[in-house]
Amino acid sequence: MKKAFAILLLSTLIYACRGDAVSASPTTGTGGSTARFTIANGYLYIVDNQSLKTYNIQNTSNPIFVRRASLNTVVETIFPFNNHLLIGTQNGMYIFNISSPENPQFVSVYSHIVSCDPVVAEGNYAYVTLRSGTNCNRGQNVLDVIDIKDLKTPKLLNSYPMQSPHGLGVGGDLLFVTEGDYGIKVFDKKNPTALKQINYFQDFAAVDVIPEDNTLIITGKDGVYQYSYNAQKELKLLSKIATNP
Amino acid sequence: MKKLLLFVAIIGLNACNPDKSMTTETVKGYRPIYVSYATLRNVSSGSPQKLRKAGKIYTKDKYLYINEIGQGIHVFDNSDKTKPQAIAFISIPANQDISIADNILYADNADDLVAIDITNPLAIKVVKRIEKAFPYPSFPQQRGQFECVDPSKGYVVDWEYTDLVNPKCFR
Repeated sequence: MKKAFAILLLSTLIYACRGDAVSASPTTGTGGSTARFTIANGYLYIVDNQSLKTYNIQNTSNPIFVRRASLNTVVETIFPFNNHLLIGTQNGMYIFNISSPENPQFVSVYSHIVSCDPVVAEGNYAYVTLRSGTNCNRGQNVLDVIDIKDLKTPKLLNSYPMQSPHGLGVGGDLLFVTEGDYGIKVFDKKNPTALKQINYFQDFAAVDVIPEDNTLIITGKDGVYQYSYNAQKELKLLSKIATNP
Repeated sequence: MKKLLLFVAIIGLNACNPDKSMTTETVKGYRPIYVSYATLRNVSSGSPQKLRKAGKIYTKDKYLYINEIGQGIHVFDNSDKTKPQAIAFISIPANQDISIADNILYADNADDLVAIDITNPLAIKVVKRIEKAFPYPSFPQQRGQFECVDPSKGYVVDWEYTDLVNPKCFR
C-alpha cells in the first residue's frame, strides 16, 4: 500500500514537473538577419557550415544536443517564422517545419543562383537578399520578394536590383535593407509586388539591422547606430556607439 | 597476400602524396594561426571594453548585446536608446554568434558551444560546455594552397597569407 502510494505521489510530481517545462517556454530576444542561432518553443536551432542542429533547452542551463540535419549547401542564416525555420543558404531558402520541435521537417526550398543571402519574413512574404562578395563570388546583388502563403510552394513575386545587400529587417509597413558601404535603404512594402524606395541614407556603412518598437538598431563599420522612425517614415538618429579602431 | 596488399597500399599512398622533400618549392599560400584550447576556453566577464569591430547584434529586455568579432560580447543597458550605457564585456574567444533564453546566453566559443549564466553580466558563470559542437576550420575561405591543419596545435582562429614551403593542402 505504502509503495503504491509512493508511486502515485512520485508520478504526480513527475507529471507536474513535465507540465511546467512544456508550458513555460523561456523568454528570448531578437537577433539580426545574419544570425546563425535562433530559439523557438524551448529549442535552440543552430546553422553551421552545412547543417541544422537542434538543442533541447527546456532546462535553459543544460542544453542537450538532439539531432543534426545535413544540408548540402553552405548555410548562412536562420529566421524563425510561424512554427517554421527559414534558412538562408548559398543556393536558396530552405523551409523547415518545427511543429515537432525535436525533429525539424524539410518542407520546401526556394532555389536561386549561388549567393550570400539572409532571409526575413512577415505575413505572407519572405524577403531574401542576394549578394556577391568574397565567399560567394558568383552571386548577384538583388532583393527577392517571395510569396510564402503556401510554404510548400514558395513563389518569386518580384526581384529588385541592389548594390551590396548585407542584411535586412521588417518593421510595420517598412522594409530596411543594409547595403554595406552604400548605406541603408528604406522601402514601403504595403504592396509587396511593387516595393517603393522611400529613403536612402548613404552617410554610413550599414551591415545588419534590427527593427523593434519604432526604432532601428544598425551595425556599421564605424559603430552601432540607433534610429527612431515614425508614421511619416522619417528617421531620426537617437545615438551612436562609435568604434575605436 | 597480405604483403602484396601492404605493398599496393604504400604505392597508393605515394601516388596520392608525392614526396616533395627532395625539391624545395616556396609558394604563396595560407598558414593557419592557432590558439590553444586552454586559452580559448577562458570565458570571463569584466568591466566594459572599447568597441573595435562590431559584429552581430542581439536585443533582449532592456539590453543590447554587440559581438566584438572573435572576442566576445559588449553588454549595454539600452533602456534609454538615446544614451546606451556600457555595463560589461563578456570575453568569449573566437565568438561570433549568440542567442539568449531567460538568463542563459548561448555562444560559440571556438568549436565549442557554451551556455553562460548572465544574471549578473559582471560575474558570469559558464554552466555548460559542449565540446566540438561546431566544425573545426580545416581550410581557409580563400582558394589556393595552404598548410594543412594540425588540430593538436589548437584551434585555427585565422589564416595568414605568406610564403609556404611545399604546402601539402590545396582547395
